[in-house]
This record gives sequence, C-alpha cells and structure tokens, in this order.
Amino acid sequence: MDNKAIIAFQNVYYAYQGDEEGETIPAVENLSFSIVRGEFVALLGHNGSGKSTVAKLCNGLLTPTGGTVLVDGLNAADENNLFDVRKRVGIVFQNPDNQIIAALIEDDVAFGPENLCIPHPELRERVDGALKAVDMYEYRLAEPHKLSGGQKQRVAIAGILAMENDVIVLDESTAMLDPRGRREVLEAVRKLNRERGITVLFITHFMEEAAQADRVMVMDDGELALDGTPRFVFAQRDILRRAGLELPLPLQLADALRGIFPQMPQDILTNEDCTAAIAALFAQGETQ
Amino acid sequence: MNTQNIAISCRDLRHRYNNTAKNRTDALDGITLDVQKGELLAIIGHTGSGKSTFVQHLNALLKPTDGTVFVDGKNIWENKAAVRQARFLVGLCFQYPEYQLFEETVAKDIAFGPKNMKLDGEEIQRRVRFAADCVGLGADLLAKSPFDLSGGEKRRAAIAGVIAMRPQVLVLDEPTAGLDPRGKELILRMIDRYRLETGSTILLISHHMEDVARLADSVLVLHKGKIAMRGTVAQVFSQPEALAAMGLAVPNVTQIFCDLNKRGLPVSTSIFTIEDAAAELLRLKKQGGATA
Amino acid sequence: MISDITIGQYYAGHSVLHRLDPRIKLILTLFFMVVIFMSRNFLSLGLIALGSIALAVLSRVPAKTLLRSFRPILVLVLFTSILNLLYTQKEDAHILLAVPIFRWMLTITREGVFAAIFTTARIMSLILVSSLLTYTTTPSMLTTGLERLLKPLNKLHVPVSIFAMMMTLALRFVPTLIEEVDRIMNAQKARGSDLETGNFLKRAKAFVPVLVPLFISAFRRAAELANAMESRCYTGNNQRTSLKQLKIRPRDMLACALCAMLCAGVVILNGRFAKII
Repeated sequence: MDNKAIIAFQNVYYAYQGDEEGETIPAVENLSFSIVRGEFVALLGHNGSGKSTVAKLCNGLLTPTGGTVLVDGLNAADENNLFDVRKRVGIVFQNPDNQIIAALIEDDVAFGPENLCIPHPELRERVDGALKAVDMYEYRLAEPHKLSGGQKQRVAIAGILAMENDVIVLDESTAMLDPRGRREVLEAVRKLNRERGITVLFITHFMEEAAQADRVMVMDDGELALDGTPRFVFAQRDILRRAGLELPLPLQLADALRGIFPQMPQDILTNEDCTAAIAALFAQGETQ
Repeated sequence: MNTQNIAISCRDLRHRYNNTAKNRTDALDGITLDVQKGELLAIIGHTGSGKSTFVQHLNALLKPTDGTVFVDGKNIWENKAAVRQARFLVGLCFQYPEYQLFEETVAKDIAFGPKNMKLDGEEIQRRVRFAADCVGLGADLLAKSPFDLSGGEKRRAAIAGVIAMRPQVLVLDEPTAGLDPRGKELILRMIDRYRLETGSTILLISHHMEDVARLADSVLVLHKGKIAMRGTVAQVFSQPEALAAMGLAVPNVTQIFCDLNKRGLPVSTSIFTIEDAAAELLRLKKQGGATA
Repeated sequence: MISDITIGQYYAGHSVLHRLDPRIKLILTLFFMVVIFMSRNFLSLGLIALGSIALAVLSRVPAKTLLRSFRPILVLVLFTSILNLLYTQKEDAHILLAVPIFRWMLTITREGVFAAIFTTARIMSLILVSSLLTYTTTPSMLTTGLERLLKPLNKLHVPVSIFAMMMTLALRFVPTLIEEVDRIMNAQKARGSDLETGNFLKRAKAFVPVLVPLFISAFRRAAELANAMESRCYTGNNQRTSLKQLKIRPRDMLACALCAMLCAGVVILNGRFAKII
C-alpha cells in the first residue's frame, strides 16, 4: 500500500436504500483506487454512474456498505475519525445556492474554521487569505444572492481552503454554471493545485474539463471503467461511448478526419494538437 | 415584407427594473426584431445580457416599460384576453424547468397547461400523448410520479408540459443546462424532431455554440440589453473577435479553422460543424494540397 | 420580478450608531423603551423626544427612510389617540368641548387631549428607537449580539447557539426562497395558471402548483445544506469560535453613560414637576 496515498478506496461497495422494504440499489461496486498527495484527478461519468456517491464516501458523509475508505490512513467509516477526515477532505457541491451558509461572504468562509475552533487572529488571517486565493477578497462583505454562480462556487472553495484541507473534492461543481463560471472555477482549483499542492478530485461530465487533469478516472454503472492519463483514457473510444460520455471536440474532429486522412495521429487532445496535426498534413504535401 | 409570415415582432422594446439604485444590466434597451414563422432562432449572450428578460416579454410575463410585442400580428398587451392568449401562443420553458413539476403523475402534470386552456377532456388526452411522444416519454413513465423520474426524464416531462399547449412559438431557455451528454443529446434530438414534425417557430437560449451551429437557422446576440448582432449562423460566427469582446466564443471547430487560416492554410473560416470541417479539408485535399 | 431583496431594513452606513456594539445597542434600546414609559409629564417626555431625535440625527439615516417605518403603525397611533381623546373621563376634568350627538354627549376634556398627545409621542419614540436599532444593525449582527447576550442560558441547557444558527440560516435563505417562489410562479403562469383573479378559495387552489414545487425544493435544499455543513465539521454541539469579534469600546461606554443620564433626567423631571399621567 502506497503510504503517500491521501485517499484510498479498497474494494468499496455502496448501495442506497430502495423504496421497498429491504430493497437496495447498488451505486458503487468493488471500487478500488488511490489518490496521491498533490494529484489533480478528474472523475468522469454520466448521471447515475455513482460518481457523486464517491464524493460523499470520501469524507464520511456516506459509509461504505462494504470495503474501506481511508483518508490519510484514517478509516472514514469510524465515527471517531469523522472530524479528522473532514478536516482533510472538503467538498464543493453542485448547487452554489445550497452550500453557502451565512448571509455574508466572509462569515461563510469562516464557518469551517469556526467549527475547528480556530482562534483570533488566525481565524481572520485564514478567511482573508482564502478569499484572496480565489480572487474574491473584494466581495468579503457582499451578500451571497448578489454573486454569480461562478463567484459563489469560488466562495465555497475558499470555505474549504480556510480549513486548510489537503483535498478538495468538486462534486459536479461546474454543472450549473455558464461557460465563464466554469472557467473561473476550473482555473481557481488548477492554481491551488499547482501553487499549494492541494489534491483535487474534480468530478464532472464535461470531458473538456477532464482533459486538463493529470489523471482521469471514468465510472460506469458503479464501477471504475478507465483510469490513466487523459491521452490514454481518451483513446479508449468504445469504453467512453459505452459510459455515455462525449469526446472533446478536437478528438471528434480528428476521428472524423481519419476517414479522409488515415495518417491523422491518434493522440489528439487539445485544439492546439488538432490544429498542428491538420497543418502538418498539408505541410507535408507542399514539401513533396 | 409579408407580415403574415412573421411569428413575433418586437418594436423598440424597453424594460427597466423598478429599483433604479441597483446597476442591473439585464434590462432591455430598445429591442426591435422580427422572427419568421418556422425559424429556429438561437439567442446568445453572456449571463446578464438580457436573454431571460427578453423572452419573458414574449408571453407577457413581463410588461415592457416601453415598446410593443406582436405575436402572430396581435399586440399582446391590447387587452386582458390578449395577455392570456399570449401565454398559450408562446410556450415558454424556463431554465431547470423540472422544478415546476407538481402533479401526482407525469400525465397529469403535462395536462396542466391544456387544462388551463379549458380544452375538453379528449383533446387534453390527445395533447398529453402528443407531447409525451415529442419528448420521447413512454406510456409507462406517464403513470409514474414525476418525482420518481431521472433528471433527464424530469426535464423532458417539464418540456412536454409546455409543448402540450401546442404553442405557435416554443421558447427554450437553456434546455440542456446541467444534463449529462446522454441527457443533452436526447433534448437536442427532440428539438430537431419537434421542429420537423410541427414546423413551429423555436427560440433557443444556449451557451453551447456547437448546439447553436447544429440546430439554429439564425442567431440573435444580446449584449447589455441591446441587439449586438442578428443574422444567419454563418454571419454571426464569422465575427470571432466581436463575439470575444462580448465574452462569447465561436464553435470550437470554427476556432480550429481560424487558427489554421492564421497559420497560412487556405481554408475557409465559415466552418461550424464537424461535417463542414471534413468537407472543407476534402476540398483542399482534392486541390492537391496534401500527401494522402 | 423581485430582483433585490434585503431582509429587515438595514441602512448601510458608518455612523456612530452603526459602529456601536450590537449587544450594547440591544440592551440600550430595551432600556430606552423602559425610560419612555417612565415619563410622567411633558417635560420628561420632551427630554425623551429630544433624545430620540438626537439619535435619529446621529444615525445619519435619511428622514424619509425613517418616516417610512411609521407608516404601518399610523392607524394604530390614530386609533389609540382617538380612544384616549374620547374616553379619558375624570371627575374634575376640564371640559373643552361638548357636542351632543343624538342622545350621547361627545365631550373632549383637557386631560383627554393631553393623554392623546402623550400616547402618540410615546408610541412614536418607541417606534423610532426600535427602528433605529434595525436601521443601524445588520440582521446577522443582531443575531450575533443576541446569541452573545443569551449565552449564559446555555448553562440552563437552552441551545442558544443552535437557535442562532437557525436564525442565521433563515436570514441566508429567505432571499433564495423568495426568488424561488418568483421563478415557480412565472413557470406556472407560463403554463396558463391564473394566480391573480378569483376569490380567496380559487386563488388558494391556484397556489397549489406553486407550493408543491416550493416545498420539494426547500426540502432538497435543506438536505444539501446539511451535507455542506457536515462536510465543514459542523456537528451542532461542538464548541465554535467566531469571526465576529465583539468588543466594548469607549464609545459603547459613552452610549451607556448618556442613556443613564437620560434616565436620571427623566426621573428628576418627573419628580420636580406635576404629573400628568
């Protein structure tokens, strides 16, 4: 077992209670993976693939029905560990409106550290620092309902930063945002990952966003279907299609062009890759 | 111009919110616009540009501070009956419409609009079946509680509730927001099919330029409550710089072709879909530009 | 569209009153109200009126805004003063006016007039002082102030901090829910639902399509909010610190001293001059 793993799932099962007596609906089945400190991992999957269940298993909001979830070596199923687990793993949820607790931005960011009994003046420093890290310091005295979706999600991220968590889990935090808001949130967490070494688990169904991660995991029907670098994962077209995901546009375009240009490379990921590959096709033509 | 072919006509539409102190930008500032019958018009603009405010004027949910709206040639604020009529002529489906579901069964919920239109029972049933068919909800789902459906199914049930009124104009405010790729694809196909079958005028608010390029005939760009652009998909998407200045983008394929063009490859930049792209590169290949 | 919702009637500003400690403000407001009822003659009442007006000036809240808070109670004030005017009967009353109406005699006495003026002035000062509290203190500061003041009750197993958290959440979510009502109403109106006409029963029925989605959404929000709070280490019974630091400063002491002086003034004036009520 890699002792650097900050989050480790070992043969984890989880089933929801169904409507009928004794009925259970499996959400996660035999899931094993581990995330190392400082990694930026994207978790992809369609709705109902079990990816949100994974988020809630990460900090003990849900207790696995089988297997173990370890956070920094602590068993997340143990009631006595909950406080320490949540001190390490914070979650940004999907709906920006339903996770801001206070009527004033700075009070909301302070909510976590207040629960950790952080005294003054450290509390103040943490709140201000966290708000500055997500570029929301100037809104510290604003009211939440006057902010845009992207701004609210950044406040939620600041709320986790102020607790000095090791891991930020974003549970489809960009799903309800407009393109600008999505960009803001993604850029904020990428910066935190790069500059502060915060581990990020970014759950989404947008493949374009996942393309920016170090590592991509794909879930389908409660199981891990793929796990690897974006280039490796995005090359597995059939598995992705079965998992109900849509390839990023540059890949779709490259696939479509391969009918005309068989030499179109396989490992296209970004717009730049695609532009370069097409340009190369024609550049060769000119040199001959 | 033949006015009979015009579904919606706005003349110098203005809207100011009552509270003047707040700097709200999504009020409307002199919108003059005609939408042809059968047209699929996409409305784009970043958050706060006035898109949602604008569409709420079309079915008389909001009263303009100034200016007039004509639907099918009639001024919708002429009298009380006209206002009520406008609600049914222009079917407005809000963002995240699943939050409006309330009935015991999906069928009853879809029937809510037609019931408010005081139609007879048989006609209501016909419309419920028609609308459910349009959005691809099977008979087994119609008897279920709307709260037992999946997210995507709820969304389609809510859209069916608007379609069941058989509006002349269907307005969809970001119908795919928050859905996963599968759910999104079903909605896009539904829009396409609904249009083919009914020939209705459709207004589609969207942030996805790919979807706009795929579905729309024409595009309306709103910026700070004003019309910034109005034209065909090709006309609007051929101005990437102007769009970028308003915080908007062109479809990703178009971006790639703009980049190629900048690199000196003699390709057109009026490429909006993958099919366009393949055809354009095939053309270039046949001209003898490439090795293969 | 309800585009701008603020809870309560906080008027943003930086006046001395705005900067006072909310605990002090709460206590002094209560104290001031008691003093208002202590006054027994026009001189002490005049002192109180002067004090209230001075506070209003200090708050720098525009007079127009302040006057707005009197509007809802205008009817009450009129009603009580008319009652006072007509029904203050004493043996040795000075009758100012007596008009026979049918078999009944309408008499207005000097005491009646005094009583009416007195009541009106008292209610007005009461309203002015209490609305100054809400004009100069944000709801969340009020909550914090109350929480700190009631903290000793924790020892009696009154869950003060939980009540304060409930208050905080209510303040946070009222604007969100109002927006939600607005959105659902518009969605149902777009499906031809008629929420504006008809009698009470018909309208109540028409609101079912608004209320059902509203409740469902409120419960969903509550569940999600609980997850978000738990994720941030809230357990409901843990010790917590607070970002808001309340500190008694010289200006708070000064405010207390001024209030005490006002109280003393009222007592002295009450004793020196004739009682009216």
